[in-house]
Amino acid sequence: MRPLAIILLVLAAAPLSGRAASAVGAPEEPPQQRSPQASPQQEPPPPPAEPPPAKGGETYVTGDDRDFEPEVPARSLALGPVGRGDLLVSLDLGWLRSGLRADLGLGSWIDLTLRADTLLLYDRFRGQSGIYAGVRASPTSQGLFRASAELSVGQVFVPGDATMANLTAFRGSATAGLVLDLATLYGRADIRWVSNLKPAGPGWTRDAELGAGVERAFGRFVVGAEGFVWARPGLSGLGQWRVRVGMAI
Amino acid sequence: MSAWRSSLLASVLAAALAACGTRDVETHPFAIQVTPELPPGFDSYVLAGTGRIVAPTVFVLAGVVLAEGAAPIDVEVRFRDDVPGGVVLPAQLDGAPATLVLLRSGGGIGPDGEPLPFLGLRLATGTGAAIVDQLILFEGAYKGGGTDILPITQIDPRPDLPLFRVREDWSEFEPAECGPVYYDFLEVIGDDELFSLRREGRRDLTIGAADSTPWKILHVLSWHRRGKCQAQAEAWTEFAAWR
Repeated sequence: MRPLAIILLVLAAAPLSGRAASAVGAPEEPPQQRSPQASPQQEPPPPPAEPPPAKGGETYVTGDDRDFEPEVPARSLALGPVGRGDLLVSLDLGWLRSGLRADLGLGSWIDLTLRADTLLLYDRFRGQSGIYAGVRASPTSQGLFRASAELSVGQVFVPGDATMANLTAFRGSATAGLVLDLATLYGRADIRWVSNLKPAGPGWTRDAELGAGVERAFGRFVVGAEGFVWARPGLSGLGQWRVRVGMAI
Repeated sequence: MSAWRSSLLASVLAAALAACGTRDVETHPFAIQVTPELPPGFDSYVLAGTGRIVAPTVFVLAGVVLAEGAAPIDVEVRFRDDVPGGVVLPAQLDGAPATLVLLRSGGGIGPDGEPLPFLGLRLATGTGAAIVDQLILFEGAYKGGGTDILPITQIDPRPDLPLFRVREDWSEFEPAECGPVYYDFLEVIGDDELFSLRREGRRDLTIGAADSTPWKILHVLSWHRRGKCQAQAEAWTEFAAWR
């Protein structure tokens, strides 16, 4: 019985370790077929013990999955959001308007937006220049389809012959797009009201922008281009464009 | 850089440059014409006769005596019919005794620098003291920086005439070739009412008795330029009022 007991113990231990198999004189594998686990220098730590199966087949999540990586939405200048506490600074160069913009993440889907624009390419700083502050909400910030809405208020300045004209502006914007692997495609509709707020003045005038654009993120950077129509009541639309470069900070 | 990338970049640049479009404001003056030529040396004329509407924008004042002892003549007044808003002669002027007030331009120019013989006119039914104004047309290169009342209602003034003033505004513009053109607004002053009209804005205004026929006021267009090409006017205002 004693040799049989020894043989049974060796057979039971053989699958666990090649080293143990070699110790009892088992034939060695050729080097090219040797498993990496067979090398004493590369022996990995033993795998964690699996949790005991739950009664009734239930599975418990312990929260210590080291392979879990939260999904980070692709950055988008047009659609947002930038993420809580993050800052996305961008430069627009376009016809008629060019500008600077900063989006600061206030929450997972709410951004504070600060923007300044001017008619740089058309009239440098002699035409309408404006500063705006607003809030952008991007409730659908994950997945293929995204949408956002933005409201902002600002001041428009126009240097006159002797004085600077001040106008108050409100802007509402809605953007929706598809976030694809290659690029982000989106459509945008804006409406803006402007007034000098003079008593007995002509009241609010409004204009609108309707356009489409494409963006692509490269790490911290986002580049994009957009074409849109500038529309005003009683006047035919005028084509506009802008290119955008943004950087996450 | 490969050939196709160069072509793509060139196409994008060409498209961007082509998209740097400018557009000037579209202005359609009344371009008032009067035949025959009236005697020179006057800033304005007040003529009386019998009215006849020949066409929606062509009026003949028959039996006008230009000077004491002169033979009566027919004076024809016409203005362009393509002005936005569809201004036409009021029907009550046809066949009625009528009074015509004409305001000379004095070397003024139109929006594109063309000669502008007349700034405006007023047409009224009746003659002498018992006249009722029915139509006012005015246009000219008036900037809104000042506060002057436009002169069309200052000649032979009457209490049932509204007052007009052009005001600069900066909220709406056209990106014209030589600089932006800003749309201005027209301020209208009645008895106890003051309001503003943007381009192609309309509003009724009652002056005097509550049951008097209200004026229908149309602000066709007003603008001023920040940069102009060659002979272009620096500013323009154009409006009409009728009963």
